Amino acid sequence: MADPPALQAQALWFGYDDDPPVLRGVDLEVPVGQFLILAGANGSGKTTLVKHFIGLLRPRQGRVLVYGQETATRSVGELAHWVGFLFQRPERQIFSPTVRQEVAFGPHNLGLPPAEVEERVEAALARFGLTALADHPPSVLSYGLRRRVTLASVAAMDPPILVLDEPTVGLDRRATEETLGWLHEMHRQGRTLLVVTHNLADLLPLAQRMVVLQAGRVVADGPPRQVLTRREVLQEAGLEPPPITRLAQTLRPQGMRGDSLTVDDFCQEFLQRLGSRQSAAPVAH
Amino acid sequence: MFDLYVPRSSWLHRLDPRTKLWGVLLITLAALLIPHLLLLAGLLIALHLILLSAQVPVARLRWVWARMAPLTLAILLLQPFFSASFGPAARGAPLLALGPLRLTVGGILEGISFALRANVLAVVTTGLLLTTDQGRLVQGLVRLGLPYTWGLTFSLALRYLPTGYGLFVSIREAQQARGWQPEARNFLQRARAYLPVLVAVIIAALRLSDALAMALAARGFGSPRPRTVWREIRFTGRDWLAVGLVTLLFVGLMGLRFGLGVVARPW
Amino acid sequence: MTDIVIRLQGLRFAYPPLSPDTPATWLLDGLDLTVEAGTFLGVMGASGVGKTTLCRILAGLAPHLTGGWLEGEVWVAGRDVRHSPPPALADVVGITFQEVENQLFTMSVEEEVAWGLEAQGVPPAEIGRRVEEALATVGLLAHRHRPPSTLSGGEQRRLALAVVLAMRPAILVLDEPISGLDPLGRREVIQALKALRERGPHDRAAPTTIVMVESDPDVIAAFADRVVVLHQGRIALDGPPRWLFRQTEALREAGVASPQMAHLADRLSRALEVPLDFLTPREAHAVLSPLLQGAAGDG
Repeated sequence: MADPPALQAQALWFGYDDDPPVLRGVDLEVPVGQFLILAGANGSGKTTLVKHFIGLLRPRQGRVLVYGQETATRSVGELAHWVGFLFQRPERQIFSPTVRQEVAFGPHNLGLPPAEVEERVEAALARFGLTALADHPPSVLSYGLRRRVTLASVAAMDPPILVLDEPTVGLDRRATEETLGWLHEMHRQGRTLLVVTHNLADLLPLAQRMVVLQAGRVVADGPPRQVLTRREVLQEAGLEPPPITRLAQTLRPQGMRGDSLTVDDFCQEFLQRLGSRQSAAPVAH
Repeated sequence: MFDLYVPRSSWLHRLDPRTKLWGVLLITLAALLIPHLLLLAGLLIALHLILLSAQVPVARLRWVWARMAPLTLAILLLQPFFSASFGPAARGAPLLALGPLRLTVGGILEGISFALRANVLAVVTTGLLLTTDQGRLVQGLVRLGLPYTWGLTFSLALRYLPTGYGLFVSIREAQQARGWQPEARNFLQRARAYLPVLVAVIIAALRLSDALAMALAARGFGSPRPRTVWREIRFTGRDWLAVGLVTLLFVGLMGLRFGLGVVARPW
Repeated sequence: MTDIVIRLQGLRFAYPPLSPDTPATWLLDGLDLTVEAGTFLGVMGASGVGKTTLCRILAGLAPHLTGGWLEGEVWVAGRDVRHSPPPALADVVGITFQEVENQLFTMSVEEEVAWGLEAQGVPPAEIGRRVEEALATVGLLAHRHRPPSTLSGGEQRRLALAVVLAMRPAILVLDEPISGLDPLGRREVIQALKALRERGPHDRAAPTTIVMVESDPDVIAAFADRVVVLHQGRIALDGPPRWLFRQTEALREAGVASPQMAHLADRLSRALEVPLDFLTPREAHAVLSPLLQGAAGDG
């Protein structure tokens, strides 16, 4: 019997109280170990959808499953064992008197024995370069450091599934690259990653799959390169491909594929085509 | 939910906020001083008619009733016992006697009277907020003598109430996602269990107020030049009419109550 | 000869330390900057380097509201910031902040724009006119009665812009006006900034000088005449965007992102051993498509 997918939404409908539905029949299956980007305009339902996977919201209609178990039968605390969730503006969750205690909050809530909590905390602090600040009050640290504390906090919970809502917003270049590096590492370790983002330029190259949400429905779902070529869909969904992709697309008539995700991608393809053109040119006598 | 004001251009909306404040004051006093059931009920019905004529949606009035329902129920159930057992001598033989607690018809009537009063107060103050733009309300208070900074503090507090609530909810969700599960045993323990949320909210609120202070200063708050008002509230003939009518009504009711002693009891 | 509208000389600034036993450190340490009227200045730098602090100083918020120590000379529109608290600068410097939530505090869009004008004692008739004008410039006139909290992110940023525009400052300071917005919101705000720039030359009341802190290099490239990069308390790079974004090493060290197009131009220039220069996809297309087409047929 095959392993159940890490995350599943089946014919998911959801709306707050009596309001019109925000999610209108979402079907999504995320296999274990996949890195998926969820994109869409503000109001398309992205955050509402992902909140279901941690059990903060329950379906009005349809089912939501984590590792084959319905979230409706589990509490948020239970699901936290499997799903590590980071909200937008995560630095607002900081409340502890020291960085160490803040990072220990998650593992402690999971009911782990104190020795293991300590081990995980020290490992997370070391991973994010926070060991020297372990006894510092986190709320007075710089913005970049506070964001690192929130990453360490979720890392210390060691969840097999990571769901992150806009993890790079507000970060400068260095912090963005650190975060991307960590995401890549998590993926290489075999974890399942679901990242909600507008930052397509940085995150698409890392992802295996891109899902576009519009007005509560999935309108595109596939490998990033493929989804980026569907310009009308993206435009309607209020999205814009990164500049390099746009450039590649405008050069389609000249032979480019139009699906470059990075500058490297583009250069490789461009130089190759240029080279083949030149070698195909008639040699002057 | 927090924004009670329903923008309309009805006669009531257009009255000067000071007129409405006067009305709220007199109606409140009248309700507190007159226990007569019919008069209170009449007052309550009149208030509803007034608000409906001011184009206030029925849904809003229902909302007030829904919020008042638990309190109203509590009053109806408990006040009768209280009045009959510990209040002034009740009329009629006790219907029920449980130790020191007694229930009489008089007690029940008093209970209904109190419940009606509570609802009159709720409807009249909510009515004020439903039909008065917050900025104009504050302007009215300031013109009546409230220092401007107090008025500003009041309106900022109202404006940021939903923001504070939103912060509370989102921080609570974030902590839940970290496995936090507060166990409610008694109130004190629950308060302690809520520290991860409360502390984070307070920190966020402090940052917010810092930023707000800068925004205010950057827009010229604290300038030595006197503040001007873009849309001044003005007392018109209608306002004088309204003030006159309400005052007359109030005097009349007080005359009945104290002069003639007619409506001094619930029934 | 254009006026110097911002003059910073040997600027040093330190915030008050959080506890009495920690020493104060200079965040800005020897900053020199001269800005001519009419410039659109982009300010970039890593997180925490002092970009927001610089904005606050230009508006007088630092040191007057934040506390701390300020040394050196700071002249803004001819006024000495060291001796001018924020209300005294409110008519020459208009500032918008990163957090929109914390700077929109009234119950309607038009009230929001009017508030600052009331605070500065502008006559009521004038207030009405300026409110309309400002809202029209940013495209929010139709929403004038809506509560700011019901506006979308892009609309809120535009409202913040209208608020400062109405005060008719000589200098506009925008702290990350686009960060955190979705593509639609970004487009709205960029549109509003364009409208603002277009109004500039014809409207003597429009702010001629704009200082914009932004981490998105594409936005900076699209608007700025001149870009400064802050690093270690000083200005590490200063020049037109076209030149600045090619200084890849220096930018990397300062923790600043370059536009993808600048990277591409760099890479292709080196690979083809031909100097290539483009900053936007449109420019890149103009340069690259002939290369792909015209490779054949040169004898």
